[in-house]
Amino acid sequence: MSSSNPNKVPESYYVRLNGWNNRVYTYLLNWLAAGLARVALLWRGKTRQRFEGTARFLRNLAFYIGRPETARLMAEPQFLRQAVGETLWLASLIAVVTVWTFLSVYGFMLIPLIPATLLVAALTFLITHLLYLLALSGDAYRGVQDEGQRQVAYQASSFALRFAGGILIVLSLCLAFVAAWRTWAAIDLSLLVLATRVIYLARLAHLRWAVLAIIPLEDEGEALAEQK
Amino acid sequence: MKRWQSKSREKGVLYMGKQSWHVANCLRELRREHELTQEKLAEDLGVTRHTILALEVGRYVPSIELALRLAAHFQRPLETIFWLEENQENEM
Repeated sequence: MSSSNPNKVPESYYVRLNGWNNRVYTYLLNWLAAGLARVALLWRGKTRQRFEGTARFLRNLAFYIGRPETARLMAEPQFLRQAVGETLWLASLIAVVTVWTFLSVYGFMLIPLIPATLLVAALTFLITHLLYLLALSGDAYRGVQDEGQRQVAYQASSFALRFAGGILIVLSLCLAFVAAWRTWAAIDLSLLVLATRVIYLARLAHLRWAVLAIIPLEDEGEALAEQK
Repeated sequence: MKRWQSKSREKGVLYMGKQSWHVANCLRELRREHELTQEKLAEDLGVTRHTILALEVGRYVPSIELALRLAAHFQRPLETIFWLEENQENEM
């Protein structure tokens, strides 16, 4: 394609890398969507609709991230800087909290380091992918928010606040009545802060991306735009 | 009580007395009529594509400002783009 147009500027290394990475995700998501669509056939009623909705969502997500614009967006220098910075910051925070928790509970033993490392990796994977989704929908790394984004951010904040408030009440009761728990109070609070952050990101991503499960994106005139 | 309140927040359902309403729109049809993609319309209006998506599927009721900007963009009276529709009993 690119060889037919001599004036076309070749894509940078990061754009090509992102394009390749997104194609892998597209393939995996489409594969997962096909599996879910087959599973949906085994059910009836609302359960079937839910499976079909999830399959449609995954197909739409694959379509969305498979576009060349997505790879270009992810390769913008400002975006890269912020994404790498936030990932490093969050990963180190998760690592500190997890290792601190495991060392406090088990002491300096080698065996707990394996589940601790796996937990850090899993949490970092989850948070970076949530941030990736939010960056694609324009909810992260963008200074200006539109009214739809603001409304969804308020909903996600209130959800995270309710979660944190509920846990704090339970935690304060436990600390008041179970003396042994007071030793772990600082760890519990750190875990709560981290969990609230993850819950906020997950709720925000869910509210912003759930609309993709309703209509197929392929029908939305993307081909028309590419022709133009 | 709490259940329908959250429902009204998320799906743009309005409750007036015992009747429930929702704001319907023909944004998708209008956009296709004008041969616009969601991306292009979002860019023209200065919002994100997800906001346009949420508007089209009825998950989000726009502010008066955005509704008026949409009406001006398509050069149509506001009430021909957005209108109130009564919900059926079984939808509640």
